[in-house]
Amino acid sequence: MDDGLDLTLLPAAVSPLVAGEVAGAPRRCRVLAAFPTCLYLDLGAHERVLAVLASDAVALPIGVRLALPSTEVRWGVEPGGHVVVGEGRVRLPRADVVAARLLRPARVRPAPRGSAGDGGLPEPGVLGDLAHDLTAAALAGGSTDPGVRGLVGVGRGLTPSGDDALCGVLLTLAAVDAPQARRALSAVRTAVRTVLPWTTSLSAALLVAAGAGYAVPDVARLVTRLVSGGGSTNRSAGATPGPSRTVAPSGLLVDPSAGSDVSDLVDRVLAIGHTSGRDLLSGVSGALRAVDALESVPRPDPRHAPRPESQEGLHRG
Amino acid sequence: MADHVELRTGSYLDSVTLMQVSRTVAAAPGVEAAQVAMATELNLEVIRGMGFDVPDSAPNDLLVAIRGDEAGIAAGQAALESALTESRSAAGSSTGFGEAPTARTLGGAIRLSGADLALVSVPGEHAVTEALDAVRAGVSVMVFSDNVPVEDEVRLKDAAADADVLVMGPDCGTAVVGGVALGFANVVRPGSVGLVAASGTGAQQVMCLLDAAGVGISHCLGVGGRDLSSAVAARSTKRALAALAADPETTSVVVVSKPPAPEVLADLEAYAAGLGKPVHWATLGAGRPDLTAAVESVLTSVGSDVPVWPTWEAAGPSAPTSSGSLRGLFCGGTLADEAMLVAGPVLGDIRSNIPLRAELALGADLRDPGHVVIDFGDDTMTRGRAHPMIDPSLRLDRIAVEAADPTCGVLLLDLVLGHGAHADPAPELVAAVRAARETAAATGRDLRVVVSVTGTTSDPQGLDRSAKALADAGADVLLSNAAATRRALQLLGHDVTAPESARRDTAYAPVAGTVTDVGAEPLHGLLAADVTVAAAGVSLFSDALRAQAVSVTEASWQPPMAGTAAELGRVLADPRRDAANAEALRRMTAAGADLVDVRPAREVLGLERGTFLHAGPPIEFARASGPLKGALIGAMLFEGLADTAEEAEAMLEKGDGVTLEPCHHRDAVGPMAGVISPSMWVYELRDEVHDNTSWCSLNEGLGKVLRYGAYGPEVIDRLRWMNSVLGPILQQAVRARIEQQGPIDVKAIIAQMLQMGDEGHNRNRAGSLMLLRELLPTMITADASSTDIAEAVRFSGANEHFFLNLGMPACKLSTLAAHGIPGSSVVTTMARNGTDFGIRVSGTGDAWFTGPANTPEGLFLGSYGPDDANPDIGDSAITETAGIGGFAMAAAPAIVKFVGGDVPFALRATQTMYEITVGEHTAYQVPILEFRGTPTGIDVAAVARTGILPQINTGMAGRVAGTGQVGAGLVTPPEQCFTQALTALAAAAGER
Repeated sequence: MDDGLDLTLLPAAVSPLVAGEVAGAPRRCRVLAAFPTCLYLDLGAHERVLAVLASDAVALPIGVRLALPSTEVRWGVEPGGHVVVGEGRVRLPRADVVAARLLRPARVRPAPRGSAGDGGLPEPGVLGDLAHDLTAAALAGGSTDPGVRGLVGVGRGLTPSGDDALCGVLLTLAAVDAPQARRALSAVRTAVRTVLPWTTSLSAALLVAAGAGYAVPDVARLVTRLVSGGGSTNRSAGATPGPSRTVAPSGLLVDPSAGSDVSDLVDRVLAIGHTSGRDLLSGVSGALRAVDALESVPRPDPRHAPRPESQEGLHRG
Repeated sequence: MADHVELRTGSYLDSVTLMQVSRTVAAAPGVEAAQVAMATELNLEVIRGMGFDVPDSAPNDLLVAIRGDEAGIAAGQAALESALTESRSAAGSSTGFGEAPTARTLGGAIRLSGADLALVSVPGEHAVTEALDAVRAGVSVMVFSDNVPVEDEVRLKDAAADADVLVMGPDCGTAVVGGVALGFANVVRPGSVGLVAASGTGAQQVMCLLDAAGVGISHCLGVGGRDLSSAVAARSTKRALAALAADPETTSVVVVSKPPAPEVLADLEAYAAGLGKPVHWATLGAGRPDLTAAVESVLTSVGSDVPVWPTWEAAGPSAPTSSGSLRGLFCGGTLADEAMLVAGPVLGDIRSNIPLRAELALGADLRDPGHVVIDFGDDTMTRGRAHPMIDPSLRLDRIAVEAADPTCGVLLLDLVLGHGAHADPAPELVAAVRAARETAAATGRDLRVVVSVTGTTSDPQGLDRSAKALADAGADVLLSNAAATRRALQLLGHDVTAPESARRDTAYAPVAGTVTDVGAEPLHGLLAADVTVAAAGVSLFSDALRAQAVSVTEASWQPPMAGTAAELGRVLADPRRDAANAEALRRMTAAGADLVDVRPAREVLGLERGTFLHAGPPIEFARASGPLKGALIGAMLFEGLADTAEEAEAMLEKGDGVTLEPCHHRDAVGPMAGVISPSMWVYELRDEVHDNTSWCSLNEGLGKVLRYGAYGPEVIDRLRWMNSVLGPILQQAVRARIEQQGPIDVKAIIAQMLQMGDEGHNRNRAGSLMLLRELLPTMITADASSTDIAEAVRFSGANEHFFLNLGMPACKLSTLAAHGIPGSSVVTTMARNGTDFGIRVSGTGDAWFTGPANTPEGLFLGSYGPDDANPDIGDSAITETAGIGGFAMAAAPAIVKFVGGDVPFALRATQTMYEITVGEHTAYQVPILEFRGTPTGIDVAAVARTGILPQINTGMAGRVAGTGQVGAGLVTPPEQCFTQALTALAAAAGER
């Protein structure tokens, strides 16, 4: 891509979630954001966003993904500019991104709720409580609107913290193979749909994807593992945070009994975005707690340790 | 007209790339003929057959042969250069300043890229070695290569089971993983039918038919043509079935294969019944359904309609011809098989190069007046050329032959589209069909042509466009190969109809059994991931993957050292090796090195009068090089065994009362000539961790010195002074220092000096100063005259290599600790005596493996030049053996001013050595590589495998005895050391 005159063809794998627009009639799309590793393009409707991803970008489920790293790609566009999407291409100033194949975006795999536990997730804080309350209401067949409205669009960032936590709730419910969970998912999804305009386009698009169980591969894998209990087999229900937990270099509480690959997954998810990964996991923690409370024998609340200050969501009070 | 023949060493390229390069060169203006190929026996024969004079060469040499006029040869060479450059840059091997070179092995490429799928297409005899790399890294691997021995296949697949990975292959041409086409594969719609395929074109046919019926594919996992044989016993098929059973996208499975061995089939049936998903069987064999019928039964069982299979009618003729024979010319082996199975019962005997019965085999000319089916993709037809799906020329030639043959009634052809195949094969085939029909028409024959086209509407070549073009040329084109065969039979006047479709369910286990654990992710989650690939071999496949937006990291693979493939396989398969090498590395890096004393050699090494230690492997005086002879003469004079050099030389020649022995045999080391005589003083170093001791002489400084073979009076006088003054002062200093502070930690000095721009072999400046800093306080308080102390301090401080004689025994202690571990292929000694280079290996005991020492290349002192240099000499290569010296060159960029090369070379040298070492040193680090540990523990197997020889920085001695140092430079050991060691390791592995 060094030669600005040469029109280069960049093969890309297209997510089925955006394949329709990419294959469709050409349309001018506004550039919502441009980062070295990715571009976000406005596909028209508020919650329709196309991510153009270099191979080292976080693999969002709404993207066309190149095989080249960001060091070898220059987008040549700025936020507010326009590019043409359609006929299987994204036409950038210096190159055409060409849809070469369909990729399979990662998706949670529904499984019955396994042994309880969260595999050593970070302390979920206030976001976790909000996620818990929403999930509990949804599972009980109550109104989900207040809970959803308390989260959507709340917090800083391109994907506000509340949305990330909400994604965690949607993904957790999508991963639990039980009738109540399916009904709860449907209720939360419906509530979310009505308030999508309250948040950013990108975040709205990711919420829609999460409602169908789609997420970044590490997130989808982690949520599947956590729900099925594959990541925390040794941990007894109701264990309180205590000496058995160790403090990782990051300052997070880590359950040493959690499978090492699960803790690797947790680390990788925590590295997503500025706080996105952490906020999402807060949502997962809270939702899992509500799911576990459904079971016949009530468990003591495993989290009565003082909550650390959550950096996001506090201003919602 | 002239011939240009040229041999290039060290430039390996895969055969497919070279065929493309050859074509480009041959097409240059003024070139009459050209061939660019690796100098294998087969290729040499071809090039000789073209009339070229071929020089002596080895299989790893690149041979360029161009015939043309003067301008033509120049044009051909220019075309060659640009084609080679293009192929190399496509492989991504170009690197920036000081960047790590591309990995030479698949394992290296996997480590660099974190790939989750590997692709091996190197020549068959080397394929298992590469594939095992992937298996050991926990990565599933597709082995495209053929000619892999079946016992190796079994071994590889057993290793794969242990590592929970899938081996697709060997000889696996087709796979689709998560929508990514690997090798020859069509672009199919995503869906829920999973394939397990022991047959490449068979799987392609099945996928294309399913795709045409609107049914998508989740994955197609190849397993290799032999997987269902008794010997391999469905090892990969079972793993693939289990993976598909656990894959949520897959709801039913089709196994595509030739008939399995009966006991394998029974076992598989039982296995499939427990999977919880229906398993169907698309198999080819006498009396079994053809692939189309099998697909129809799958469609019925998944609830899809069986469509009318696409057909493109020939433009023009429609009436059948009733005379002549069937001539089936195929690229796909399974398609050829199916054609014979469908046509055989109607036509009777069909002769073939892949006959259904042995007595139907065609002769070498592949001609017969009766019915003939030829598979142009068979191994025997693809030796030295690309598969006919890529290079159609042989088949196109044969079409022309059939056109002129009055016995040919109908031509039955296949055309396989999709990834991996020719980018646009239809036009050439259309032209051939048109020409063939015209040729036949000229003799009054109506030559009918039927084409079975295996493709999908999404294939890059365009199914409809390709099929229409063929139909326009007068061919009947059908998607179903079985139907195409029947069409050909009809044209020959036979009344055949397709069997009732979907009568039989071929499923073994259509009833759901136990549902597999949903959280399970077999094959490390391969089927759920968007794959990234590491590849070794033909770059064509990597290019095809890049076109699908798949990240591919290619190893810059080249064949192992000539003749080592079999032994390498045995050594790499030695189950002790991994653990033994890890232990060797652990010991090497754990070994300590404390300076504990300075004493006369007589006392500590037990040297008798007349016994002389020397550098390198054992040698008799007659074969000794000039510098070693000179040093021995000097030592004789020094010991008072002779009065003159002539007398000393005569005594040494006769061997009267003189014993020569390598320093290494007494756990000592000596730089350059390395001569230690009984009276000389030596440093004594201890490794308390492993309870070892090593010794080295005191450094004499630079210039005319004994170790470089000088023996003049000033040399002998200096040695006497070192004995009478320097040695005793150093002894007092070391002993006093131990009393006050404990011994000097030489290992810590090495770690520190690497951070200060030394590499510990030819640059010891910082190390020497740090050593002096440690010794000075007790040197200056030694019981000696202040004049002597001042001289001893001045002498030590003036010598930039003062530290070398401590670094070497420290390295010796490190490698000594790693010696003697059964099964370890780690080198524990590299040493030279000026004539031979010798190595010893941890797992092969005290045996030396030797070869003629190379002469270093580098920079020369004063007026000396290359002709003055002696071959490589000294025990100092112990530094490289222990992970410093040339291996730590990146830590010492300034050294290039002394040994030659440039700074990027220094950075590259260290990074290249990681390819041949077991691991990284824990204490010795290279700051500019982000404090990465130096490459440590040379692995004989890795050296043989990559052809990368250890990089040694060294001083150069004058060739003539008595000259002294003439320069410094870079050198590598001779290959033989490593190939011999490999032979011994292979033998040791076999004894178990």
